[in-house]
Amino acid sequence: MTSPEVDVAANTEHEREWIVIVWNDPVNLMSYVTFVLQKLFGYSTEKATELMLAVHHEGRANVASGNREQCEMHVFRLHEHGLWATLEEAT
Amino acid sequence: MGLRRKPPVERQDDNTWVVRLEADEREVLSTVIGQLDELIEHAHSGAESTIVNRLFPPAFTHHEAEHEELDAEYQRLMREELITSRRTAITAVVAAFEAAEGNSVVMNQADLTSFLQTLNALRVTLASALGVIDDESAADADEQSDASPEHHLYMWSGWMLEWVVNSLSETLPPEGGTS
Repeated sequence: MTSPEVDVAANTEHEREWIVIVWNDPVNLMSYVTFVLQKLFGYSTEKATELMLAVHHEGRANVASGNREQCEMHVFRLHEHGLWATLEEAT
Repeated sequence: MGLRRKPPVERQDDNTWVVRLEADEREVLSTVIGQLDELIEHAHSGAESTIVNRLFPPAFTHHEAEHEELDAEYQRLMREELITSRRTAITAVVAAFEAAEGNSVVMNQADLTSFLQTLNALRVTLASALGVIDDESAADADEQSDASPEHHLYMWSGWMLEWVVNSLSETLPPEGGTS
C-alpha cells in the first residue's frame, strides 16, 4: 500500500494570501475607475467609490485578495481595462 | 422649437446602444486605433518603451527580487494574452464602425465594452506621448489652450469615455453583485 505524495511546496504556495492593489495614475477618469471596480468585483457604487477615492487620495487601494492565481487573474483583468494594478503578498 | 443635439451614447430599448459619430470622426478614430493596434501587435515581452510599459504594466509589486522573477514569468505567460485581448477589442470596434449607418454606430454591450477599453487604451497611450506623468502634468494638459491634434484627441477621448462609462453604468446594480 502506498500513500499519496503530497506536494507541500505547492500547497503552501496555494495557501499564501496575496492582495491586489490599484495604484493612482493621472490619466484614468475617476468615474472610469469606479465603473471598472464595480464591473470586475461586483462592488456596490458606494464601495467602489470609496476604493476609487482611496486610490486618488492615498495613492493606492487594496481592491481584492486571495491566492496568487486568483490575484494574478484579477490583475490581468484590471490591466485589460487599463488600470495600474499589481499583486503582492499580504503582510 | 430649437434643435436638440442627441447624446453621443444612448441606450436603446432592445439593449443595444447608439454611438453617434460623424463619418470624419470615425475616419480619424479608425486611423489612430489602427496605429494603436500596430503598436500593441509588436508589444511582445521584451519590446519595452514608456508607452508599452503603460499598456502592459508589471503585475507584481517589486518589493523583493523574488517578485521581479515572478513578474518576468507572468509577462512571459500573460503578455500575449493581453495583446490578443486588446486587439480583439479593437477589431470589434472597427467592425462596428464599418457597419455604421449615417452617424449611428449600433453596438451591443460587448461591443460597447470593447469601445470603452479601446478608448481608454488610446487615452493612456496619448497621455504617455503628451508627457502626462503626474497630477500636475495632467492638470497642465487639461488646461492647455494651444493644443496639438494629439491633445485634442486626448481630451475628446476622455469626454467620450465619460459618456460610455455613464451609459454602461446603468447596467450595473448600484447595490453591487453581478448584472
